Amino acid sequence: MGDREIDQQLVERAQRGDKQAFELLVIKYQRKLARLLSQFIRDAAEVEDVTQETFIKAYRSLSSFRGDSAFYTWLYRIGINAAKNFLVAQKRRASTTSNGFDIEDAENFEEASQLRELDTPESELMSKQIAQTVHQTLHELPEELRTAITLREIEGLSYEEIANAMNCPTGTVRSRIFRAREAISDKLQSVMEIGKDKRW
Amino acid sequence: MKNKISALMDGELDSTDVADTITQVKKTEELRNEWSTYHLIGDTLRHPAMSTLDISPDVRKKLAIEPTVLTPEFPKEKKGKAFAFAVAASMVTAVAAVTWMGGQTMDQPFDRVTDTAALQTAVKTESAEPAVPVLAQKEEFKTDKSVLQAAAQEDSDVIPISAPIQLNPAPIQLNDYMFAHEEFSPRTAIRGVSPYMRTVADPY
Repeated sequence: MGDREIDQQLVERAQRGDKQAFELLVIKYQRKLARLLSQFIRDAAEVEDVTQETFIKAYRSLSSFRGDSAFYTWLYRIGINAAKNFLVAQKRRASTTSNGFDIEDAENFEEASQLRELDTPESELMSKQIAQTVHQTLHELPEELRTAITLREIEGLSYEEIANAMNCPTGTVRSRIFRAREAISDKLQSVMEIGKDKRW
Repeated sequence: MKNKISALMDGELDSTDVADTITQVKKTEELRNEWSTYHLIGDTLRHPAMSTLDISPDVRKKLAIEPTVLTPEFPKEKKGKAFAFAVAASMVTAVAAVTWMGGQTMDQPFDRVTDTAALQTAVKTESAEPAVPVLAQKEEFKTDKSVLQAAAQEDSDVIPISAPIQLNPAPIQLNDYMFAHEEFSPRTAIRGVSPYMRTVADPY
């Protein structure tokens, strides 16, 4: 079952009144959506507000979603409209809107170089700590675990593609990726506990 | 279970385990945290910026006061059934149309051949006169089969093949005339291509 089908299952549960299923989608797409909206809105707090508003609007409109497109495509359309409405209300113009930014760009939006620095000094420090922990732990992992999770998370390969690349069974790939995530997650817990008192 | 969460977020979990895993993630706070942390790891590896962003608690609070969405289910099976029914109906209609058109076209040659066979049977004792069956094949008028068949069972000397013989003087010209005016014959309900269609078995 692919990623889109998983999203569809969560959406269908939410459509049947399961709010927790929708919350899993919020966790999954919140940062990706926020990065997209940061193309329009400079202020970090406003990006968070519009991101929240987008998810609430999406939830209210959930009955109109029939799965004709992927959930994230539908969500991004709502997000872009929310950002534009926000800017109109604030009587501002986003500098990037003159570049012809559209839905298709949003779906393919992966360029970190286009991101603005949204973080406040505190959150920026926390971001650095999280990133440092993740990358340091990644480099300390055994090579096969590091390769597996890198191919998955950064290159976006499927388990089968990774299995072909690493010349091992798919089940082994699945196990390696899980072990890598667990190792990084363990290291992150301490950092996140400290951060909870500040901004989390 | 954490292993399944890892596979679930990659879209690589077996479909039989998906529903149960989602239910467990929703129920258990620890598993929900794993879901969140695994996504944080992925997001951080791809884009280190904004890794501190977590609006899910705020969204959860806002969702709590939102009216619950209850969407009527859109049965996908009905779409398939409707499509299958439409295809079946189209095929039945097409077959019916072809059958009808074929009947229109084949009607005339079929009768003629049958009549010819009957005539040949009827005159089999008159083999000394080969002109009779030939003329019978060329005649354009419908002949009553039952009459001919009944006649065939009677004495061959008395078989009334005289009627086709009367067409002897100008059969080809008559055929041309009939062919030219067949379109206006009341025999076919629809004027058009059908009268002009000829099959392989048709001698003309």
